Amino acid sequence: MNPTVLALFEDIEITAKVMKPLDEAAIKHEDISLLTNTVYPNGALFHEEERPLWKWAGIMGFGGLGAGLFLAGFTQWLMNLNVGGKDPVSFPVVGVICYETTLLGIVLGSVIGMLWYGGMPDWTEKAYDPEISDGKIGVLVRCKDDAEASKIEGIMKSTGAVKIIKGKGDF
Amino acid sequence: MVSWSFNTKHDNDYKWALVIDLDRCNGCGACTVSCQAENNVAVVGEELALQKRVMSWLRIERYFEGEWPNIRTVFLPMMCQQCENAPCEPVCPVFATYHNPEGLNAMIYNRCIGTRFCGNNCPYSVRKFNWFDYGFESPLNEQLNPDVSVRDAGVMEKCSFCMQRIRRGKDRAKDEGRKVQDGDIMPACGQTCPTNAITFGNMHDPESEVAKLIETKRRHRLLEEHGTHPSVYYLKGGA
Amino acid sequence: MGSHSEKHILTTKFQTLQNEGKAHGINAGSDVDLHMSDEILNEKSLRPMFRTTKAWFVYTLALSSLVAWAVACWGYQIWNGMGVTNLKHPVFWGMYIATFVFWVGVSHSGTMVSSILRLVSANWRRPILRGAEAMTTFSLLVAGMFPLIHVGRLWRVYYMFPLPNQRELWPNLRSPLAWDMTAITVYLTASSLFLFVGLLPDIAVARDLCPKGNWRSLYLKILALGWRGTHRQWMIYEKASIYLAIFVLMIAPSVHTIVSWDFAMSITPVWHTTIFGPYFVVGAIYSGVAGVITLMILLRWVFKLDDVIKLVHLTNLSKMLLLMSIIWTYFYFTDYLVTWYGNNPVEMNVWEWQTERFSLQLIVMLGCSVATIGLLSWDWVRKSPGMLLFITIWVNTAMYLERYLIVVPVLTHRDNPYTWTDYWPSFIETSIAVGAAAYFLMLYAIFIKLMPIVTIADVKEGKIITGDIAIGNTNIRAYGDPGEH
Repeated sequence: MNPTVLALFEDIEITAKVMKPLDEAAIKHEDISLLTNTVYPNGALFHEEERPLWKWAGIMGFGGLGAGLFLAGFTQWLMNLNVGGKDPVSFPVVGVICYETTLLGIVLGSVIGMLWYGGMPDWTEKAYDPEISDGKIGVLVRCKDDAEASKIEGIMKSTGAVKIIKGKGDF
Repeated sequence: MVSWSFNTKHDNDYKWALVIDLDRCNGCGACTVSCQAENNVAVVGEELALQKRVMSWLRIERYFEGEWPNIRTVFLPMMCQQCENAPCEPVCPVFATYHNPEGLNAMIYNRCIGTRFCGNNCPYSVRKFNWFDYGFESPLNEQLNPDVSVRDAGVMEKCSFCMQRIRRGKDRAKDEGRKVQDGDIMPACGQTCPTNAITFGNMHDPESEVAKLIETKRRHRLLEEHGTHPSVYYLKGGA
Repeated sequence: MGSHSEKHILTTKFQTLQNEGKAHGINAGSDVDLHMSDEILNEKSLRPMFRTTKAWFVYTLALSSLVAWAVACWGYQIWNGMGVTNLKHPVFWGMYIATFVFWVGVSHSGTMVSSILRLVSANWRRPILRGAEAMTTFSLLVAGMFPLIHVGRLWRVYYMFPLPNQRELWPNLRSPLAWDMTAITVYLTASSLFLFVGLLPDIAVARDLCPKGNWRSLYLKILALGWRGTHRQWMIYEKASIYLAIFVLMIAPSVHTIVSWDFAMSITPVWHTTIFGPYFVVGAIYSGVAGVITLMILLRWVFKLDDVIKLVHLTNLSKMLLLMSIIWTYFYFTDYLVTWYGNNPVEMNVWEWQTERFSLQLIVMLGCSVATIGLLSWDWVRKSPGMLLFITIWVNTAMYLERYLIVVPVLTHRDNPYTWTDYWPSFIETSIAVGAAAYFLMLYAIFIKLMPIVTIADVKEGKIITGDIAIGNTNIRAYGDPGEH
């Protein structure tokens, strides 16, 4: 398990200054994580790739559409009873049911996609500090070994971190 | 979209129709009583009857025309019109009511969950709901018709053109290797009517009494503007 | 991820900050307080959750007893049959259906406030999102009870679900009630998920600041799903929030349209009109916005959240209410005008009956329109929580009466004059309807103790992207556009 260094800063402006020394120390962006109590614009620390949530939403949406067509179309075609002379399979009925089930599929897809890409649920011990909820901004770095961890710690201290936690929990 | 012809005009040998001659009806109410006896319709008692909870499938509606002293009373026997385009059928979420191939609006008591949408959608307000488990106190329970189910609280019910008699008539005809002839089947109301105001038969049989009566000028149906195509025809035109 | 030190939630730290003059917000007129630190914001938002007074217990106990009484009445109704209501032939639908439609209407609160304001980037939406979304979910839970309450054979209601069975029976999807069931299930699922997704970061805050040994720590830890606030998580969270906002917004009007089609699809005289779809949706949004304002005023007052849910939020919501009031009045007038001009004898007779028998209800309902439009046009009314409380309660009463006046009068005076009758709710029906309202309030009260009632993460985001720009000799408030994360 790789050692981790979590540094807490007071302000995003101070935090942002840490990127230059980290880049110079050749730390890859996928080994750096910004921990905040609210959403900061993309690029506040470094630019992150967007995850394709639309894939999840789209696939589950089509699943919902299929379920709707099956329910309102296929099963009603099979269960063919004359009720008031109405067609067993008709555009309005199939449309209404498919609309609802498709939207349900999209909503479920969005939520499951969010959990998937966010790595949730994960109740294992992870590097974190509750002061982040009070406004501190955390920078978490995954280091190759202890020597690099000490180097990172030095960088953080010199940039102005108010608290450094070493080696507690996963990245 | 996907359409089948549910047109029962030519698809079937039988299409049951009822013809009621309003010029003959004198409002005696014998049909109501016989329907109650034949179909195990619950007796609700005076208090509930005043609260409009009467369960009778067939009611005689009484209207007054004209000003005193030139008042005329019109009696209108009202029962389920067995509409071809029944508005009560598509709104049932569980298929507890559907249109059978012989043109009857069939009610399936044990499927009904009691949402009561069908009752709301009937423009003639002929559907009844079992608000309580009324029960048949002794000795009324000895009078129950074994051919007809006794309904539970929470289900809808309505006139079925004495479906049990239709079935018996068809079974007998099948045993004898022939089709049902005119006069084989008569619902309880028609059997009891003292003035022969009620005629029942197969519309698709051109020789039947009802087919001939339907062709007369006096015939009309109720609330036709709703497009329900009822199977009950009323004859009116006399003095 | 342990819990934070005990000192935080109790008054000590807050007292210190208050003494230093840093506790209360400046810029009372703006919707975000740039000078309120995260710690103060957390403390104010979490205090309703962690500090429970005796008054809360009394309130919740009173509501629970109303709910228990309603459940007892429902049991009595199931045992004895639907006859214990005042329903009769041909009034097959009465107070239960009217209440059902009302609660589905109230559920449009969260969707409208949360989804629409999020999508148009209205920055003043931030603190009220949670309260509105919770309202949606709970009012749907209450609404979903009513089809079960009004059905004649509750123990067979599973016939309505498409569960494969060996009798080869299936529900009738041509029925508007089947569409109803689908729509309400979808909406309930979607709005619960919407509420939960929005809650995730705030549960994490509550988890972090939960006093040691508090009974809440276990479920907060579980429900936070390990949320840490990494930038990746925030990005996907924002994206999912936008998706959910769009699609829940698409679901909501369709749900109330489908509920309106329970009436419009029938051939009953006053019900069979195409305007019901949009009319009900507009009435629902009207009802929902009024409900949000009522709840926000009460929350501010009871939990002293004046600095977080500020006057400007109420004022902006009341502008929405004014708009909805005008639109609703327009729809009601159109419905009436077309009916009156068409001169259909059955419908004209129903209108006459309505003005004779339900004149008081009509006055309250229509008077509300006039009063709301008239009063809310004044600036001082929009800035007065007392007046807003009065107006919004009147609005919701009027909306309930509107549903009742749609369901009942026409059923009592239908096509067939022989069947004309009268209807008023029985004691059982009234008990159950009141119990349902108590149930909603009880769920809300319990929710306040289980989850943060203010959308803390959103308010903090507001602080980050908001700033003051100097223009000449003055400053104006500017809101940044976060753009693509």
